[in-house]
Amino acid sequence: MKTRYTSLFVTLFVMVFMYLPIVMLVTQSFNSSRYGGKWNGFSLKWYEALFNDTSVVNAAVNTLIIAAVATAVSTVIGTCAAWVLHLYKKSKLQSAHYLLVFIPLGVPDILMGISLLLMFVSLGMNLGLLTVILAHITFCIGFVTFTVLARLQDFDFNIIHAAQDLGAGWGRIVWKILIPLLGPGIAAGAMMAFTLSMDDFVVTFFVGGPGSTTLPVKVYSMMKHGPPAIINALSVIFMALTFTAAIAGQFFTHKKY
Amino acid sequence: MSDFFELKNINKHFGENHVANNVSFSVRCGEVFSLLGPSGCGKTTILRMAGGFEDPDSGKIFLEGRDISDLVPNKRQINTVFQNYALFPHMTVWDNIAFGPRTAGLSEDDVERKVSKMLEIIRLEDQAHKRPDTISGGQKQRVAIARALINNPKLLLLDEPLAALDLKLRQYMLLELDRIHDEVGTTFIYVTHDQGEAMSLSDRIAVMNNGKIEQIGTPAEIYENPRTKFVASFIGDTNFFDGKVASKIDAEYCKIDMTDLGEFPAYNEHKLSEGQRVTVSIRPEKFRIFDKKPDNDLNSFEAEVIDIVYQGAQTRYWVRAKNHRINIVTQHNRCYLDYKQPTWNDRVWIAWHKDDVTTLISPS
Amino acid sequence: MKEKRHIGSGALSAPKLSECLLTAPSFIWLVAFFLIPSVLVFAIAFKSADSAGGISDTWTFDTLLNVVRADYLGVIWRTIWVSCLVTIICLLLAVPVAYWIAQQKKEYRYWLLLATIIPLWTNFLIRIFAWRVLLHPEGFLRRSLIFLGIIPEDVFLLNNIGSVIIVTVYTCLPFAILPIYAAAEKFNFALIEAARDLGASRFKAFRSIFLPGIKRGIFTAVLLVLIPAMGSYAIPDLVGGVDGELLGNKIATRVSSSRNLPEAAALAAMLALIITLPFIAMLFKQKRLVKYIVNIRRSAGDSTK
Repeated sequence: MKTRYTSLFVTLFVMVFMYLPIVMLVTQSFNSSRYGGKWNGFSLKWYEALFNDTSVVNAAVNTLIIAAVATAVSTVIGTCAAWVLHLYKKSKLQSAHYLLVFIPLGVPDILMGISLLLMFVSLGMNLGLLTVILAHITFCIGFVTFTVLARLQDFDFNIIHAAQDLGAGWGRIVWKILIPLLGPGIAAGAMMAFTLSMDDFVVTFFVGGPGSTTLPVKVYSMMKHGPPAIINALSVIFMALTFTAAIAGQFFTHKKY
Repeated sequence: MSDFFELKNINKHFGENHVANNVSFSVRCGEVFSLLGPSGCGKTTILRMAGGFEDPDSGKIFLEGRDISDLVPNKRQINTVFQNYALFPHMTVWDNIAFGPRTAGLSEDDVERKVSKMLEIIRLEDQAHKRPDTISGGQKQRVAIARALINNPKLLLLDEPLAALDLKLRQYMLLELDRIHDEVGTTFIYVTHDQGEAMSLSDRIAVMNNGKIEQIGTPAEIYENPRTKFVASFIGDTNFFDGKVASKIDAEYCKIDMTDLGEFPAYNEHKLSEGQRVTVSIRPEKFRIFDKKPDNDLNSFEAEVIDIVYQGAQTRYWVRAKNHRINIVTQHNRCYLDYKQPTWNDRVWIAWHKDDVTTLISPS
Repeated sequence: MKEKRHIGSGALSAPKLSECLLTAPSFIWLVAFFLIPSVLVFAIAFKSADSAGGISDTWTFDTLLNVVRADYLGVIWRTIWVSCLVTIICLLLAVPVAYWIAQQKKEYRYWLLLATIIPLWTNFLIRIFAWRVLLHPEGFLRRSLIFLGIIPEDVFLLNNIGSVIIVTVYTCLPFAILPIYAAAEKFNFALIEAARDLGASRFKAFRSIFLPGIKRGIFTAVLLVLIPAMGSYAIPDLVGGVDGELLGNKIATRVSSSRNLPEAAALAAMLALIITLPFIAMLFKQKRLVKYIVNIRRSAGDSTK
């Protein structure tokens, strides 16, 4: 029974390893002591301090603006891409297209960040909200495409033929067939784009400028320079946000119609 | 007589692949016409061209004498039952069937009336508010048929409708299809690779292979009188013998030299002359097995039993004669009970009647 | 003229034009914002910096030579060995976990797997920050360890290469577990019983039957851990201290504090080469891997940052 117990112990260790830091963080955010060596009693004072900090609120607004725009644009582009990739599987153009959509997913963020930065600088663009949004759309497209593509894979195209056969025009097909059937897949893709955009630090750090500080960038600078306890609180709120988006994403991924 | 539905000289290529090679046939009003062939023979493509989902490279399609080659699917008054049903998974059975009339802009009252009638025809009134993924394969199939029939098409195309069902259900659905056909009287074109389905359902069958129609005829014509080697072997079992015409006996019969086995009289269907090469096809059930040489009005030769497979209603024998392995099927009729059954390695005489032979002219 | 419609490819009655129109947005976007910038990195590596921290017009090899000559080689070497070590630790942890989960009842497996993914749903920086809290000199872990007498008073857990490795393993581990689990789930465990039946010890069966059976999963896991680990920047920056700097930090430093964009480009080009060479080699070996990686990353609901 040796290996079975070994693997069980490793699994238990991994679970503790995965959750310990997060559990610590959440408890610390309610601890009035600064570093949490010991518990000084329940407190919401770090949350209070957080909401009084206007730069945090600004960063949150920026994050939402960027995520919303990046999600909207990348969802449209990615859905179109998934549609053609699925429909014209055998064409040469689509093989090239497939590679172009896929490769960015394998590129580390730091390379994507620096390459976009170099281009924006070469073009003489001012770094700010616009450059961040452009960068976010770029790394979201691939994820939206492949999420929608996975959905298209079990979509029976004869359904469209059947609708045509029964007299439906494209308007009716889109409205009555495509949106109800592919909607959840597209929503899952959009959710993923939203989560990715909201979470991104490295790319934003490279291509952002004054005025485009997002929550992750804010968290980063607070971690470098700011009072640590506030970040605990910020982290928990942020964590709640991403969790919501991720659960919604899971919901849409598994929802059928 | 002007034909109801007609395909004329249809050609279609997919790249290098000639999937429809000068296909022409016509379908009579009210009949069930089957396109039968192995997968990849082009039958589905023909059906899709009839439905308007593919365009032929050349050729014309006529419905009631009207050229419909350039019409889009929904203007053809032809509806299709798709492979794997293609039901809208997010709609109930009711909404699936109602899709056509609603699209046509009928009032909800009319839709309701039509859908109820269709549900009655397919006997699924109690399943109306279920989703397609919660009903059985046979029920899905009936919904797909109802959905296609509700617009009163002149012609209904069915693409391998029973392929996804298991054997028992398939047999039941065949009866259902037959009943529905009798009830609505619509002309059916039925695509299948299953000869049993085609035989039991069709008024006429077109056998296809490699993009070409090999033969068109009633099930009995096709079985009893195949025109090509392909048809003979694809529909039912058969034994082939290479041979040539040895001599003519009279206007109707000739003697055929079946290599190694001797010369035997056969019906000379193609009016062959002496010396022409032919392939002789004799179906397993046309043979009879005797323990001694039978009367002279039967053709016969001696053989050795090498294998016996008891199949309940019938027994299948494999016998060897010279270099031939011959497949024979005998029914267990009461009158044979007192007759001694042959067993392994028995020397037997196998016999057949000269009219039970099909001669196929080998393509030169 | 009539358009050919293929059943197999699922093309509808849409002409070629619509294919081009629908391909255009993503194609053009990714050429403009991915392909061109990537090429640009390599081009700018051959430029020199101007005094304002921008890019001058002259072409030169000096930038590249500088990068090779300067103390970067040590950092590059450290980047490579740290990522390799992280990959090995991840595999050592992920294989037993995948093995164990794959042997559980079907209805529990999804939840167990989900449990390993959930930490990924937390923001990347916050996961790092949580470790800063945990490893902090005044924090719970160090205090407890000292109290239990496991470590002496003068040992610090934070701001060294060790903390970089721990935190990188932490962020990368789910990406090792997922593909290995996917392979282990398809593994036929009757094979292990067969090996045992033929006299193999449990460990021997594990090593010579199970491990080769999940080779593909291990392969993917290596890619999914190694590449992000090579490009990691935030982790060494936040928990690494001085001797924990990796190539990513050097690139970031050249971009922000001591601005020299061509040198940053040269470093990035170098990193890109180090990463792509094994990647391309593997890609040619396993075409289906492409789809696979995408699926894994999608199901994880995050990108490997």
